Amino acid sequence: MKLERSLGILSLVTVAAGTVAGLFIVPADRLQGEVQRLLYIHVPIAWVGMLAFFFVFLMSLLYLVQRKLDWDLLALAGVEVGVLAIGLTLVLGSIWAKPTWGVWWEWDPRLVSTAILGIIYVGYLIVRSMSDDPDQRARWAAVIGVLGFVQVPVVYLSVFWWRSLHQPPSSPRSMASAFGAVMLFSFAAYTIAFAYLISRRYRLARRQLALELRGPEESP
Amino acid sequence: MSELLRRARAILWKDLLTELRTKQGLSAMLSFAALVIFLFSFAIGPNTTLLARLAGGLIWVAIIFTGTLSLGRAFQTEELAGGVRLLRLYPGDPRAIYLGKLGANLVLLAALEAVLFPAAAVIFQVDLVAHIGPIALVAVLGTIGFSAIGTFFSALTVHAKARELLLPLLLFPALVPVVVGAVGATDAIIGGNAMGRLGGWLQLLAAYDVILFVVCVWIFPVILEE
Amino acid sequence: MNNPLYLVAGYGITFVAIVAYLMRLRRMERDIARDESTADGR
Repeated sequence: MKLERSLGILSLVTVAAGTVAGLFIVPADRLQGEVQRLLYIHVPIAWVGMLAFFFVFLMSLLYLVQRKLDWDLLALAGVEVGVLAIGLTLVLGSIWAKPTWGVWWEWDPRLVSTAILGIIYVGYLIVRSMSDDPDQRARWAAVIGVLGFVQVPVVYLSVFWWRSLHQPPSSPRSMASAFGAVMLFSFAAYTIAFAYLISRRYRLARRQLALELRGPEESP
Repeated sequence: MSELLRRARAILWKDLLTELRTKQGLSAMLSFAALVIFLFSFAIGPNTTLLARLAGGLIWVAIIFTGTLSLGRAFQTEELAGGVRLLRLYPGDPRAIYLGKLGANLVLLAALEAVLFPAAAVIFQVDLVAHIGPIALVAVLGTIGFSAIGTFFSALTVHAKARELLLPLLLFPALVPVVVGAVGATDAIIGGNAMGRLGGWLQLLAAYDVILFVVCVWIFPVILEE
Repeated sequence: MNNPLYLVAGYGITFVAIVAYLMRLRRMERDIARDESTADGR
C-alpha cells in the first residue's frame, strides 16, 4: 500500500514535469511546429500500450502454468491499462496526423497493428464476462492473452507487406529526431504511471475476487 | 498418436454425416456466398475491369463471411445437447475434438470453394482455369489458416451470450494475415505474378498456418477443462 | 500546422482519459469497501 502511494505520487510528479517540459520548455520542432509536442505524450503512451500487451502475455502464461488467480488478476489490470493506453495512442496519433500528414487515418502497419491490438484487448474483456467462475474465466482469458500476443507480429508483418505492395515505404514518419531528453523522461514517467495503475487495479481486483469467493450470502 | 487421429476422424465423420443428412448447412452456405458476391458486385457497379481487379478480394470476403457463419454452428450439436459439459465427456485426448471439427470445417469450406471459385471466375470474367494449380494451393493454405483459428474460437465461444458478435470480434484480428495473404496471392495469380510476389504471400500463409495450428492444438485442452 | 487546437485537444483528451480512469478506480474502491462492510457486519 505504501509502495503504491509512493508510485502514485512519483507518477503524478514525473508526468506533470514531463508535460510542462514538453509543452513549455522544449523549443518547437523546426519541421512540424507546435503539434510535434503531441509526440511527447503519444509515443510514451504507445510504448505503455506495448508494454502492457507483453505484460498481459507474461501474466497469462504464468497463469496457465501455475493456475494461481493472482496472475489472472494482474493480467486483467494489464488489459485495462492497455486498453486505455491503446485508445489514447490511436486518438493522439490521429490528432497528430491531421496537421502533419493531412489525414486522420493512414494504412500504416503500425497504426493498423495498434488498432487491432485494441480489438484483441476488447475481445479479452468480453471473453472475461462469459463466465462467473473465476477459474474458468481466468483460463479463457489467459488463452486470449497468449493467442493475441502470437497474432500481433504476424498482423504487423502482413500489413507491412500489403502496404509496401501498393506504396513505397516513404510514409512521412519523421520522428527520428524526436528522442531527446524530454522524450526519454516522458517514457520513464508514463512507465511509472503504468506500474502505479497496474498495482492499484490489481489490489482492487483481489478485493473483488475475495468478495466473489465469499459468495452471495445476504439477501437483496 | 494414431489413437488421437482415429478419434478425430470419428468426430469428423459424425459431423459431416450430420451436415449431409440435413443438407441445410451446405446449401445455406452456398446461398449466402452467392448473396455476398452479388451484393458486392451491385455495390461496386457494372464496371467489369474494376470487378476483375477486385475479384480476389471479393472471393475471399465471401469465403470468410460464409465460413464465419458455418463456424458459428460448428459445435451446435454439442451446444444443443449440453454444451461444454458434453464435449468434456468425449473420451481420450480433447485435441481429437479440435482436429475432428477442424477437418469437418475444412471439408465444408472445400465444397463451398469448389463451387465459388468457378462461379466467381465466370461472374468477374477472370480466367482461373489456366492457373488452377496455384489457385488450389492458395485456397488450401488460406482455408487451413481460417479454419484453424476459427474452430478454436468457435469452441471458446460456445457459451457466450453474444456468440454471434464475439466470434467475429475474436476472429477479425486473427484473419488479417489470412486475408492479406490469400487475396494478395489470388490477385498475383490472376495478374500472372507480374511482380513476383506470389512466393512471398504463399510463405506468409504457410508460416501463419503452421504457427497458429501448433498454438491452437497445444492450447485447445485448456478451453475444455473442468 | 500550428493550430493550437490540436495540442489542446491532444493534451486535453489525455488528461480527461487518465482522470476518468482514476475516478473509475476510486468508485470501484468505494463499492468494494461498502460490499466488504456489509459482508463483515453480519
